[in-house]
Order: sequence, then C-alpha cells, then structure tokens
Amino acid sequence: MGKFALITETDAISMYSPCYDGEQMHEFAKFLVSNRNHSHPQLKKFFYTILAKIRKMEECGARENLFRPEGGKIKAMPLYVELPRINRKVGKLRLYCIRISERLLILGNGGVTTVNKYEDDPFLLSCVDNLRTIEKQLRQEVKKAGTNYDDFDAVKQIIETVNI
Amino acid sequence: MRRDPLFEECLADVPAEISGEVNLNIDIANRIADILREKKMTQREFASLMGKKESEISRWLTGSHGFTTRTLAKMSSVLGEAVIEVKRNKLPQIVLMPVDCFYSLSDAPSNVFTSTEPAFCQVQYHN
Repeated sequence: MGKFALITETDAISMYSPCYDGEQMHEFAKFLVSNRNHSHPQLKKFFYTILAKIRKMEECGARENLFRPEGGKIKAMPLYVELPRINRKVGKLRLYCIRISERLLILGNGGVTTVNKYEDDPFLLSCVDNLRTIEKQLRQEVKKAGTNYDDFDAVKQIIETVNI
Repeated sequence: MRRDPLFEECLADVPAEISGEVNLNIDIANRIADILREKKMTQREFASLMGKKESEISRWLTGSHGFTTRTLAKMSSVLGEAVIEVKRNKLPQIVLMPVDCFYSLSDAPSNVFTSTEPAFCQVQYHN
C-alpha cells in the first residue's frame, strides 16, 4: 500500500510520485538520489536534461509529443540527448512515468540503461511493471467514479486520496 | 508553484546552458507539433515532405533534438510558415497625429479657452 506524493504543481500541470508504505522516499526521489552524482559527463547530461525537461513541463504541460511511448499510458524520458557521441558502454538514463493527461503526470523511477529494451534490464523492468500496476488501479478507480482521464479535477481528487 | 524540496535542490544544480538548450528544443518541438495539428498534417506526411523517416520526426517532436538552421529553414518552407523567428532591432516608427490645440487669452482662467486650431503631433513608437 502507499500514497501519491506531490512533486510539483503549477497552473499547467500537477506531478505526483508513488510512495509505498514503510519507505522514506517516493519513487522519483529514489531516482534523484541514485542518479544525481554520476561522475560520467554523459550520464550527467542525461540527468540534467531530464530535470530541465520536467521543469519545462511545469510551464507547457505534459504534451504527448514530449515522451517516448512504452505502451499505453507508460512513457519514458528523454528519448534522445544531444551529445557529440553516445558511449553505449556508459549507457543512457531513463525515467519512467505515467502520462494521465497533459495536466497530470506520475513520475516513477528509472536508471541507467545499456540495453535496447527495458524488458532486458531487470531493474528497469521492475520500474515499468510497478507503474503498470498503479496505472491499472487508477484506471479502475476512475471508471468506478464514472469519469475518465480527461476529467482533471476528478482524477486529481482520486490520485490524492487513493491507496496504491 | 509548489515543489518537492529534493527536486528543487536538484533543479538548482542544472547548468543554465542545459536548461536553455532543453527549453529551446522543447519550444521548437511544440511549435512543429502545433503547426502539424493546425494544418492537419500527419507525422508520416511531414516526414515524406522532409525526406526523413517517421521515427526521426517522432524523435524531433520529443524536444530532445537540436536542429541545424538548414533543417529549420527546410521545415519552415515545407510547412509554409516560420518555425522560429530571430528577434531583430527595429527602427522606431514615426507618425504624425492630428491634435486640437486650445488657446486662451493670457488673463483668462486656465480652464477657459477662446479658440482652437488644428495641429500635428509627432509620435515615435516601437513594434
């Protein structure tokens, strides 16, 4: 069980992250703590790019075109980072999230990937599977409430009260 | 605006040049997406006109891609409108506006006018 913690809220968007019972940190905090001190400049650039992108979404919202699709409402960022050359052995950084709508985003966990598909990395697979479980539950709650994901106020209310 | 303290702390470490790069790339990506929607053009059609694969267009629209001026110029040409514009220093515009000038006798109260005559006033403005 757990709850959603508010990460950031503006007129354009509300972002949350799941925090499970018995844990000190929500999933996005785990991502931040695990990845903020990478020494390799490639991973540092990925990390800063992800943060800058989230900050930009505070202004423009979670527009669909800004994400890499991973199936249904599950998305990843960033798709690509401008670097002179990507060192495959060092890897890329991925953050997984649930894009409920342009105004509601759930930030999960993620990490360094050296594989082509997240399914090939056990940790990243667990990050995505956790989000899939949460999204399935949210979808059921929204349906039970007789509404849909486009109803911002109703879905926000559900996110802020549901036990996950 | 409300922010998680750890997120706020990490954001403070993001170098200004990376923030600037991300902001510009996303602004351009969103602008392209908006133009495509306004023109009811699919990504596939746009890709074909640009001579690119659809997957590359998808990547452009994520806001993670930096564009060359050549690509931006070609996009503007294909879409029929500017994707970005460069701010220019414009010369001030000067116009003459007709005004009525009010005259009064020197010993009349200040709010009493005895005659009016048309005149012109020069106004300078910047766009």
